[in-house]
Amino acid sequence: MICQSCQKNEATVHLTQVVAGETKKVDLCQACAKEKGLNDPAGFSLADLLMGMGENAEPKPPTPSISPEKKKKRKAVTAVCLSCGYDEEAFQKSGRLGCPDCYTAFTKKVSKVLKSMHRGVEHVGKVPERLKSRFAVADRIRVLEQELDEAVASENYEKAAKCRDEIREIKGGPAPESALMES
Amino acid sequence: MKISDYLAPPDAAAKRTGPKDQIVMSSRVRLARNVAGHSFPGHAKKTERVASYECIRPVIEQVDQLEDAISLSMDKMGSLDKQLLVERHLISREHAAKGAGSGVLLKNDESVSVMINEEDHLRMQALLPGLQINEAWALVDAIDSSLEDGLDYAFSPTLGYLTACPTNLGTGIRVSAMLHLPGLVLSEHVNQIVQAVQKLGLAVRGLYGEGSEALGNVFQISNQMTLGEKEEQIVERLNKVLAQLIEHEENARESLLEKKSGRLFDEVGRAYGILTNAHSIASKETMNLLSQMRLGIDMGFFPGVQRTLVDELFIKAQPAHLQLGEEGKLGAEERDVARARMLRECLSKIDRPDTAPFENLNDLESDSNPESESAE
Repeated sequence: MICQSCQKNEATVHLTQVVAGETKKVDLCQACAKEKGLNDPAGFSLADLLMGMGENAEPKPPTPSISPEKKKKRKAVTAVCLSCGYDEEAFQKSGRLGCPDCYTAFTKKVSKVLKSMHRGVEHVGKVPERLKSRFAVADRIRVLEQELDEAVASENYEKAAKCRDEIREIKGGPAPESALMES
Repeated sequence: MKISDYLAPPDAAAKRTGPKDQIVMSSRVRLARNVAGHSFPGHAKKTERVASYECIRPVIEQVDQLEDAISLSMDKMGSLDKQLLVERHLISREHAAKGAGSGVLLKNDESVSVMINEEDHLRMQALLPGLQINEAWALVDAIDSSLEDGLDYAFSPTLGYLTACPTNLGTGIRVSAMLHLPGLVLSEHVNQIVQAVQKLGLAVRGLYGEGSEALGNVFQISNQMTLGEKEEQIVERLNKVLAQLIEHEENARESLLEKKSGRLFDEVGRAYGILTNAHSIASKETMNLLSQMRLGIDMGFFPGVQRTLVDELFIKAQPAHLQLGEEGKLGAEERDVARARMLRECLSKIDRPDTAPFENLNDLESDSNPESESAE
């Protein structure tokens, strides 16, 4: 098993935490575990740990504000929110974001953090009244697209065509004769 | 306007009662909201923060439910006034440190407060006495809905209400209750219970929220997760846990009376003794002793004495409240002397605990405290 943090060394430290009945696991090498202060098991929380993880785990998304020369120095590259100027590094340090748009700018980092933090990763609660109709449509489209994918995967083309037509209808386009998708 | 004149005096505040307030001192629901197009307060520069404050404040002042509320800018408040609000749980300690570009709206009965530009643009809370989680949620939900029309909330269909810290993302809801658990502490079951509660994904904190210790056997239980569940589910889970905790505390008190009555009488008696006779007493010791006294009242050791008396003293003994009647600021030592004087005065008409009716309930001979005896 490879260390989830550095992705290089063999993982020898295995941690399990039960949050809300769900088991979360982390596997780290000795060095990374020490670096993250895991010598004191009492003061350890998976959420905190995962917050500071993954610096080297995957390449950073390119950012428009950083010149190509700088990009070569991989370590210095960090995503910046164009709305407020906050950067990903600051997010990782403080655990807080700069403005609402940061959620879009740092979407990968954020979604990684959310998994260990919450019961789910999608909002199912209250929606502001005036946004309801707009989001209801978006929701329906999302469900249909998912059904479409599943139908295609299971080669249920009749259902796939139905989903596709309904999506087009909601989006406002004309519903075409269902002739496609024969393979 | 002086804050102390606006707030209800401690005796009136303590008389606000609610269901199960023997154990559940208060219920609170707070929502975190932000406005699209503005940086979060923590990242915004001062001019931006002042601008967002000026844009948010008039909208909140217009809300029907907050018609009678007072609207205060943090830079126009003295530190003692801010501390008063912290002690009444109407603003956070963090918010008390804020200046220009932050403010608070308070309803006269203290049931609702809205912090502007704390960690988020808006932190609105409903705070009710006793076990009233559902009522508090309904109250704050309605205010939030009224604000929707005037404010363009930062909201994402997938992530919900966007907050400065991802820990509040989604519903932005924090449901909490303040519990008085002296029975569980005295019977040494509280750690077990705390661990069980934490396993359910709930947080257990002290009297003043994050990072504070459980003074006076008061524990704050709240949800931690805000995303992936409906508000009602979160409220419901907390209600279920609270019902269990209430039962455990009630059982602990009963079994203390049955099995460790000597210890119980001793704790309450000592608390009474010190509170009525001390000439200098620190805040921490006061909270812990008042807690024992509150337990004694609940158990019936002080016939005719109302629990609200202790709750009033809980408020009065805190530093800012203590300095209200005094000229100028007091140093820590002067406060301890003033606190002891206040306690002696307020408790002067309270008779010593009468445990006699409970003592023949079981054989006290077999209930001796082996620890204290062997230590001598």
